[in-house]
Amino acid sequence: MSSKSQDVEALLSQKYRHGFVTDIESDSLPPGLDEGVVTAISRIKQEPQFLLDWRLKAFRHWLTMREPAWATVRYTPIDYQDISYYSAPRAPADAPKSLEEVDPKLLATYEKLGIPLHERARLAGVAVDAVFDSVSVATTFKEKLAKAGVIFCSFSEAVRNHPELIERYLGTVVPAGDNFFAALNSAVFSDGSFVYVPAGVRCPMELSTYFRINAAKTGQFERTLIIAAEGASVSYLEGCTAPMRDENQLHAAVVELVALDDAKIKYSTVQNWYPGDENGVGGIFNFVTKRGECRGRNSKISWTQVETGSAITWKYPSCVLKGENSVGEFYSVAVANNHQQADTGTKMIHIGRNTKSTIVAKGISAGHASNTYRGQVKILPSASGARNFTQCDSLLMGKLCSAHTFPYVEVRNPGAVVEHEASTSKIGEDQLFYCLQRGVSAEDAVNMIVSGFCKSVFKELPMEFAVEAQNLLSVSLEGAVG
Amino acid sequence: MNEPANKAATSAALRSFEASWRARPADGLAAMRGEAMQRFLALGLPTPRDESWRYTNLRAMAAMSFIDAPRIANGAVTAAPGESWIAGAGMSAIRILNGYPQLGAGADSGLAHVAVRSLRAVAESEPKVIAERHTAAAESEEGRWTLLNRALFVDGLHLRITGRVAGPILIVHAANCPDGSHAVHSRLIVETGPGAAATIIEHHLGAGGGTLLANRATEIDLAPGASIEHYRVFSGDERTTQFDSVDVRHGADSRCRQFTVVLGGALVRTDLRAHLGGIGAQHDSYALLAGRGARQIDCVNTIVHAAPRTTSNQTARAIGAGSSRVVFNSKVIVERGAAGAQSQQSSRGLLLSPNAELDTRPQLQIHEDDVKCAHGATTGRLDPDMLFYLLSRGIERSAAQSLLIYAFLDDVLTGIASMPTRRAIEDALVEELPDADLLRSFR
Repeated sequence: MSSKSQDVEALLSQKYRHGFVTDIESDSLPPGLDEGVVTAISRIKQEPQFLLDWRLKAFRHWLTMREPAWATVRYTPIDYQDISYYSAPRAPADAPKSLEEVDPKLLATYEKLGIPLHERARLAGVAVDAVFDSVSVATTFKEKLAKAGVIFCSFSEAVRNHPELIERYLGTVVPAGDNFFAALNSAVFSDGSFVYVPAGVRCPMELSTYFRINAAKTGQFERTLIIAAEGASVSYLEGCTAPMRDENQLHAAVVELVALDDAKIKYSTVQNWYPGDENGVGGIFNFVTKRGECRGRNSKISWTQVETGSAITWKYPSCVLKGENSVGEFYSVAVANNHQQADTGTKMIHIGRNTKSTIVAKGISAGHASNTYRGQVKILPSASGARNFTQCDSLLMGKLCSAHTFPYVEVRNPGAVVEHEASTSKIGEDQLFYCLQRGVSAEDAVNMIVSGFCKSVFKELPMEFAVEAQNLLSVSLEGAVG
Repeated sequence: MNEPANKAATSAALRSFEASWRARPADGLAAMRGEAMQRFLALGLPTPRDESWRYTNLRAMAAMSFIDAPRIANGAVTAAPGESWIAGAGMSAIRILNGYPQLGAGADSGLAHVAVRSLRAVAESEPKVIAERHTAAAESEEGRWTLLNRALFVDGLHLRITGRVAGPILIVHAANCPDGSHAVHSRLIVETGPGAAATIIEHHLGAGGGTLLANRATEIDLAPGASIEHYRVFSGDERTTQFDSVDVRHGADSRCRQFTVVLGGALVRTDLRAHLGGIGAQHDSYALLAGRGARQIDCVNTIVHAAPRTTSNQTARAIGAGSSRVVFNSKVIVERGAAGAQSQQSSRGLLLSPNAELDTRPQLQIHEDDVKCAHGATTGRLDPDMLFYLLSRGIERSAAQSLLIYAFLDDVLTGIASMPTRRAIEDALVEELPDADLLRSFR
């Protein structure tokens, strides 16, 4: 038996000695991945048997899979046996003690983004006991949500308190063996968010992981499940515009959305993980599977994303439009600067009658970056009256970057109408000249033009996010011109 | 003699290709053939896991064994395997039967500025002309049928165009095979001198009798300032599989207008690879893809902008009727350094039947910032407003539909510069549409 699995055995026996309700503060599994690790994670989290079985099934399937190679991204192979798949919240000892210890570059970015002072510490991972403002916000909104009947909690909490909902919906949109990274996530996911909006309820506020304090450090294998029951509606914000301190290099998250009859889910993401330095050293690998299923009639799922971070982004938020008259939307701005690589897009699978989808994707490449839009629109024979409109535009800044567009349009119903438009160009010299001539600096001019280019996506973002996203864009593109 | 291939052939089709290759003479091209065959066998038959073959499954073909179509001697009297309907007054036609050109003695085509030779004659006298040709296109996975063609071609045509050629050069590819599964691997090489100009029409007919696999390759080299209008028209019967690749290499300021018209065949896979390697070169491609019955059409264009100020325009119109499947897959690559490149693409599909499928993949790969590239793709049904307009004027529904389908294809048809060719293609197209009689009365 290998030493790794011996470690796991030891750990498991240790856990048994202390019983199942150990305080897991100092638990951390050694690097490596086998069934023992999967079982250990499930036991640490005191999960019911069905979930452990599900994890093991996913793990066994993962072993038979190969890492996908079709994306236009390049990276050194990941050694999956060299990763620790469970670590308890980081000990305060590793974290900076105060803002003085935080990288000044990071602080400068917060300044530019206009992040309130008390939040800078939290974002930078400063070991403070609690951020009082956030706590008070958290408490008040929890009361409000409970009154409306909305369940919004961490995934682990949901497993404990609402196992029937988890068992019913988990893996029904992204099956355990869906793809390499989704299977890995299904086997070892650490935590994440869970939202259930009961029938007829319009969620009284926008939900955000940013303010859900118990979601802190959910780690690299995050799992999110959002269910909007009949007639319910919810808007969910993921991430925040400020760069988060994070030392995990590989992120393989899974997000599943379920919209029943007449339900609406709006999912907005601002992803700003560490992109690596100017020379492409370091940075997060972000391999995410996001999919929503419009299961009911007249349901709607809308994805909005602003992707500026990560060294590699591999992400295709998709909609399966099963219900009659259901609607899927995808609005995306992906910015890649320096040596970043982004391969992102969407899938719209039309199954139900009169289903509609809209795709607006804006890609910006600068420096040595590569930005790819990859999207599929599939109209099945049952989807009569289906309609899709796709627009994907790329903007190039600099001689060494690249932009790619790979759409797949597959139509099998003669009653469907599908339109696809794409364009690629650099910033118009005439536009730039016009601004410079009026005394606008080159950098401001580029920011203006870029935000005009992205306007159709930004207007889909919740208001406060939209303002921050604009700032974020200019920070991301710093140094790309001039 | 030929060395055995490195990798064992794994399907009946591959084994039969390998057997055909072993039967090739040990002439000056043997080394080239051997290398191409080994690479082809290493790649194997494409599967839907290959990105460029995602929509075309060759499983049925893999189980078949093909033998070379029999050679029909020059001037031999044969049962006519169908006539080309393009041949018009003043057109000079060269007939290629089962891959063997039916040429008179000498290199006289009857046209000024064109020297025509059979590829077999070239292979015998100057094998280097063929063996040393640049083969970058065939390096890619997409070029695997071109590789097989290199390994197995026995004959074909070599055209050398040195000036402005007055009329169109019509090349009719016909086959006359007995029952069974036959393969024809023929090749056309076109070389141009600076400033040369010509119109070349390749008309692919089907085979009488058995099942035919026609694996053809056309290579066009454009010298600086040369201009070629190239047509390939497919009107084979429903037992013909056509793999047809056209490689165009552009010199500076050269121009090519390339038309792909598919009106027949069971499975027609067309590859077009245009390499814009000369400054200021321009490539315009047009595709008219009529899917009908159980036909499968897979049209793949790859346009590479490798030099500054190059331009490409693509126009594709596809119709899916019956249980047909029509694929239009186009890739525009702008390499670093190709500043000022401009690329436009418009592809539109009309789906007429619940059992048909249209798949479109308009791809862009841009490695240069000084570019203007755009594409637009639509798939849909006939515009109900247009239909209503015609119906309200007392035109029968079926006739109105035919008219609108015909109008839908107009963008490609009007691009055809040679009037007799356009007329002939229009006539053939009308026959393919519902209510052909009515439609004819409108023309």
